[in-house]
Amino acid sequence: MTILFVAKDFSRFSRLVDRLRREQDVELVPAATGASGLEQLRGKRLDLVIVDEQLDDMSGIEFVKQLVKVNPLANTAIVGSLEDEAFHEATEGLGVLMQLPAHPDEKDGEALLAVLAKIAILMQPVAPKAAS
Amino acid sequence: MTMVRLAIPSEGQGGLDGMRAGHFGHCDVFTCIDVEDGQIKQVSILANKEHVQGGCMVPVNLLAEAGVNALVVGGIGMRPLMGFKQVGIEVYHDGVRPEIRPVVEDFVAGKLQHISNDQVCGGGH
Repeated sequence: MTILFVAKDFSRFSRLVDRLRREQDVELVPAATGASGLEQLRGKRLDLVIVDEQLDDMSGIEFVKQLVKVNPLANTAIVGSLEDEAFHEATEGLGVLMQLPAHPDEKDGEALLAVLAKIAILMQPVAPKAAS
Repeated sequence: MTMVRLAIPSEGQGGLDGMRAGHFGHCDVFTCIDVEDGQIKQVSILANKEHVQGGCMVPVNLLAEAGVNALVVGGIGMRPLMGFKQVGIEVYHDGVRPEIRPVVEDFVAGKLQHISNDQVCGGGH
């Protein structure tokens, strides 16, 4: 699993990163700015992108708005402090997995891994049937 | 001779005489219509999968795997729209009629427009 991590300061994410790294085959790719993160996304297969609430060159939500046009297959999680309804409103149509707290911990990492596993199951193919 | 497999997000059991689903990602089934030389050749039903937060690519993958190459929606979010473009499925827009058949007939007649980026919606995609 390849995870792009877009943040200016990675120290707040140590507990989350530690949890993610406990999974097998997790590669973390760091990017310090939105522009460098978007460059990393082009043409690459990424399982997850975690982006901080505010970067030097754009907000996390603005980053995801640009991300979906570059690599819509990448799943995303954003650090933020919005109420549920406001978060839903701000990220409608962008397909964000979840909002993470400013200091995400192991439980947040487990929640992320669980939703990724569920989506992976749902992505498995099925066959259509004829209409009656 | 080109065959197009058109998908319509549908309510209930779907079918040509069924009703469209307004929320693309939350539809019960996709009614899939094979169109060749302007004629409807076959209709099949593809069950949708569970919708989870952030799982926009699930229906994209589902329709791509089923050989769909065109889709008509009443609304769709930016991420799934970009996903459909990436897998080569063309997305058309009809935000008015709830019935499947007239929308399919207009698609076959070439009367539907591609959805534009400024027509994307949030939520309920």
